[in-house]
Amino acid sequence: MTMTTPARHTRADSAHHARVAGTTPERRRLSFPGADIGLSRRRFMQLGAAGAGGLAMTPLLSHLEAFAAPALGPHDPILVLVELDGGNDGLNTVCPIGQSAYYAKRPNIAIPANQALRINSATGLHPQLDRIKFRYDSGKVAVIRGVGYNPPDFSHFSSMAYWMQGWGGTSLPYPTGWIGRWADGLPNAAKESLYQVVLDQSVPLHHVGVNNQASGLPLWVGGAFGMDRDDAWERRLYQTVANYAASGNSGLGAWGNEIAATGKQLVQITGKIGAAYTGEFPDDYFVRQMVLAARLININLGIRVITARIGGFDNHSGQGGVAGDHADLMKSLDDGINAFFQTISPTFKRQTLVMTFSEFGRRPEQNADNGTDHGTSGPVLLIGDLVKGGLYGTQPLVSDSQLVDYGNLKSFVDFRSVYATVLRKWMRADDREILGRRYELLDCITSAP
Amino acid sequence: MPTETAITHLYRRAGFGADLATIQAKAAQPLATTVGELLDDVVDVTRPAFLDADIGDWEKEYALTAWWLDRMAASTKPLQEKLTLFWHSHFATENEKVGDMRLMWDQNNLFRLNCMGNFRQLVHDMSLQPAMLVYLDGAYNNKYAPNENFARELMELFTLGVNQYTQNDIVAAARAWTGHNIDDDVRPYTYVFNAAYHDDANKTFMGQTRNWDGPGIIDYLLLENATKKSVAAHYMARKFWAFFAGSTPTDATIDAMAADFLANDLNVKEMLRTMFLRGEFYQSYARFGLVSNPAEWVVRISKATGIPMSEPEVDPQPPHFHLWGLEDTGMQLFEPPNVAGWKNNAYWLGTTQYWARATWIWGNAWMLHQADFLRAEVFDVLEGAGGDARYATAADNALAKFGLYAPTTNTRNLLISYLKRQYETSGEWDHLAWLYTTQLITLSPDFMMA
Repeated sequence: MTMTTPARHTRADSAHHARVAGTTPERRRLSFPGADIGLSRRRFMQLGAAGAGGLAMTPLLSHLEAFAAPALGPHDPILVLVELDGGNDGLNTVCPIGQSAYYAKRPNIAIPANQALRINSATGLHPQLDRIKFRYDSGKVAVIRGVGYNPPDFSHFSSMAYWMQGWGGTSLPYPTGWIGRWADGLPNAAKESLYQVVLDQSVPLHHVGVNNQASGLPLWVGGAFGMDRDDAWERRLYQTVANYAASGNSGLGAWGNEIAATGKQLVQITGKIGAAYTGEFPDDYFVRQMVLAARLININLGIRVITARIGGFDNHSGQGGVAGDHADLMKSLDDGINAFFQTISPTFKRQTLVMTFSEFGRRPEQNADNGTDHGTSGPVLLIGDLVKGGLYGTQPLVSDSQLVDYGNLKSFVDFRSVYATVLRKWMRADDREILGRRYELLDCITSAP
Repeated sequence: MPTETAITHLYRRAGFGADLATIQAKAAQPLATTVGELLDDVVDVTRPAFLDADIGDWEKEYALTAWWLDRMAASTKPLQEKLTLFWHSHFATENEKVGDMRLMWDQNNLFRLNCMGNFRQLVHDMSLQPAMLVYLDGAYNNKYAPNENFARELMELFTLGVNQYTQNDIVAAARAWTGHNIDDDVRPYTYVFNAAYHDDANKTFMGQTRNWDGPGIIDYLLLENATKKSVAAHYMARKFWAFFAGSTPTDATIDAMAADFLANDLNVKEMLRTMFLRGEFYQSYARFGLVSNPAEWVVRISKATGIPMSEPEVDPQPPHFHLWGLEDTGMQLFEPPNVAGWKNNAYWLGTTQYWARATWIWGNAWMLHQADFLRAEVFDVLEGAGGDARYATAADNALAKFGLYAPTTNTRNLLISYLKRQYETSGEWDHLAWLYTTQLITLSPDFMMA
């Protein structure tokens, strides 16, 4: 796995594998004989429940609006996930400035203590995270340290799949992710496609449910199919594309049905989202995502969870310290989160929680290319008005006697403890059912909205 | 003799579709003969001159993408190009990091010329090409701080799959590959072995303590250790099946493919022959097992319309398709999403990816106007006599133009009723027949399936 610096359209990231890790043939043993299932399961279940004729034809676009998600009330939680792809260097994000071993192991890339944004004598944030630090000082950021799992897996793909799956039980009958399983419990889950939204990417594993299906929305829609509804002939074309799914049977098996259903889903969605795309956007790829995320929330389509993604963290070479590739990523992260909170309307700000995650941290000792190789634990940030700000977890020690698994950091907080906390204390959900077992809860959220 | 349905399926998977005359001819001869023809020798190609022109690397990337898509559409050996695409996804390498399309071309043409040769030799060859050395950080890999990137993916993605090695094995393999670097004093980069950077000490890899060297790791996995070689054969059989058939294979089919692969010392051609002659390959669940990837979808559109991707070099410019916007379909050639390459099926059916295809044909179909596309097949039929039957005739003509000689009832009926409704409610429709019909067909489940 390799990754380069974050160009606007960096696709060099790991999550694509994870997002389809649950859809490889090997993991589809419960599928229909010879047929793939994956995202099609939702449609199979619809067919099973309603019969082949159960999907009524909807001759007018306006009828499709019946699928609109329930709008959000002031007590409905919103979760924005920020996926840091490639393995973010946790030690240069939340820096152990009090540990001499940190500087000994990273002669070229450590963050000097006097340049880190000081939280206390032992800990400081990367100097590019200054707006996050401002929010931290306002008590709105929980920094959870040493988050990982045991034993660690150093593959981008396997590790991200663990994180996205978020399952601690004994068996998982379908390849699903923790957010997808949560969305399965929402009203009308099998039909609603705007409960969960991912920006500019295929659906990652954490958004895959048994019944509910996430929608992917692009960052640019200028001239895009489906957006302009002024012309009657174009409307008829859109409707005809949607009608490929009307009979519920493409005659081409599960994937043929899925193609038809995707077209119909697209025609529905493009009729609703235009307002979020109007106006100016920043150039930065990640910041643009975060602004779009806030605007999508503001028009209240009923979206509950959005994932934005920033790639380029696989800094095997030339990652830099205070400046350089990783610093640029930290700046994008800081800019994006700041832009999000500046864009979101006061109506929804209080009920929104932002959470970062990455598949693993990086090794304490720098390599010969002034980069770092795949590591283990790292920090997770929770940001929002109802977060109980402060430091949580345990800062892993960098000295040799404290390292495990080929010179890597210990993990102190299972990532599913963070999920359990978010699910129970923020989403008011049954964390045990969704995660497959109980995990220790963190006291880092004041209350659900 | 095989059915026309079977031949249509074979030509779509082993290539980019076939015309009706070819389908009928091949249905009149034994399947083994047709498969043998498809697996006939590969052909060489001329290195495109623009690779050495004084233009930006991104311009070369654009040009080579168009060149390759056109070659997929026009080659007399379409399976060769399909396999080149397979290897590009298997040994995935992004020019975003490599940064030199001359190196990407070297890799691409290695895949092209060795697409159905010996797998072990192909792994050896691609490992020492600068494109891979740069992409997975072998470029400066040295004994002072071995870089694990290539060593890990060689086993996890290129040969064995997960859970077939330990972290200790990766560390040992990374040390073995030290010194296999690039010479960055020259452009384009070349491979060089830096003895001073190579770890010349004993390492323990998979329980064997030796003075391992990188290529020796490949020979150990794919020649010396019969267990690992068998694991690799099964791993590759599943990858080929996923790419060409898509459905969940029976273990018997995978075992048969792997057995042939092993019996022929990892010769790809013989494994493919087994797969294409396997009854399971023609079962309905395999025929319905795969969504087209964006490259083959575009190539089939290009073939149907006769309009190429490459921009013409002289005026007056005939129409050509633009590449802009294809990136969002999820498949930008020479820029796979990561070292794991592209997946299949659900991977292409996110709303975003589907949307990008819809928008691409939405934005590109306009040029078909210049080619008078579907005028005779659709517009003239609608303008002629024949009552309501002419709507079915026009629909069948249009579908056949896109290689859909046996469309589903669902798609055919929808198109017929659309043509009737649209024609009867609009006076002058000539400027839109080609546009809307093309959009509807290319987005139909029939055409979107591989």
